[in-house]
Amino acid sequence: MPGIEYVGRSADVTDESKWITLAQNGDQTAFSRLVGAYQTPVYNLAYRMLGNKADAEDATQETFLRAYVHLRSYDSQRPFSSWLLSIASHYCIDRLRRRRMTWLSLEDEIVASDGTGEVTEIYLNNDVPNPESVIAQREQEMQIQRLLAALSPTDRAAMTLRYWYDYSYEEIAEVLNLTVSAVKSRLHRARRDLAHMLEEDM
Amino acid sequence: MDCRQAIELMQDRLDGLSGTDSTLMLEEHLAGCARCQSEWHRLQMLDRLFASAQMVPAPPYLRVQVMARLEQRDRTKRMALACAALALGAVTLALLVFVPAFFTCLSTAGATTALLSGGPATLGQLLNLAKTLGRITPLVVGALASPVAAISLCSVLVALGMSRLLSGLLQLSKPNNAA
Ligand SMILES: [Zn+2]
Repeated sequence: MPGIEYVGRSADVTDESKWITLAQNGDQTAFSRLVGAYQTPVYNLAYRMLGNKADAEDATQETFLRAYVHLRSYDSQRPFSSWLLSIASHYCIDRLRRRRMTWLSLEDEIVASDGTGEVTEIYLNNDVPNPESVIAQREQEMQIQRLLAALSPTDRAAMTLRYWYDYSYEEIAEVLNLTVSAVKSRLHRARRDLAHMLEEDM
Repeated sequence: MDCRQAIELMQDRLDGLSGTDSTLMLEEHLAGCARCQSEWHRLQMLDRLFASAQMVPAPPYLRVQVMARLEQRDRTKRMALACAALALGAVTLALLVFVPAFFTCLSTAGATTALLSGGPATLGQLLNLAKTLGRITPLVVGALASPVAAISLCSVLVALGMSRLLSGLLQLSKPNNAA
């Protein structure tokens, strides 16, 4: 499963807690290191949930600003990544709910879900030699975003945390402020619905 | 085992939560149930699709943007603090001007002794006090009118400026739902 190793790769845990303590005391350089270490997990979550790059960037910025403001309320017993992802998912859920209320952004959703141009760049960096597999990957990527867009905001968050972050039901429950059984039933239903949609899509 | 239980076992298996026993039970059910076979096929397809997806990397300029917004926020905060200090200064100044001016006026009119002498015990003293008050009122009003006007104007301006800065600040630091 991708994703879980990002923390270990960018810094070991002692370094991280040192940065957090420094940042809690207002050291912006230390906070900048935390942003560097966690920008991709936060951005990916926002992108998966919101469906387009512009909103994902905005949500990532907002998440880190909120994290900075509330850094003192961070409990060091909890992994920093899940604290950040919790801020990010709540922000994205709110944003999706607000978006649903304005008919104008309905177009955004459609643009986002047909994925034109948005996902192309992801694979420009990964040198995939075979153009056919590039096309296949792009198609898969578009399919995933289309499927996610069909879910409710909270279900999108749950699916994303399950698949990209390899979070357990318990971890997802903590991030989204849900009970474990609620997470379980949401994930199970979302998976069955999406499986049917995928079959019709093929 | 019924189909509902079988589907539950499929989900567990996708999440890596099923043991050997339940795996065998599921296989057994699948062998005799076409509906569950196609459900299992669908779920596996979906699971494979999602498991193959990669993280979308954040654009490289994002960190710089976040830090720039943080700095801007800190600047706004410093300005708000400066304004608060200014407002506090204005209030102190107002007190420094008001209080001595008030007592100067009172003593000019000879009222301090009248007021401190133990109160209106006789009719004469009462009349005296009324006359004194009549004399000092225009004096006090005349002496305080311009500072009062100036300071109120300053306070209104400072308060307006501060409320704008603070509302800007509050927008930046809306409490998050996660905390
Ligand atoms: Zn069955």
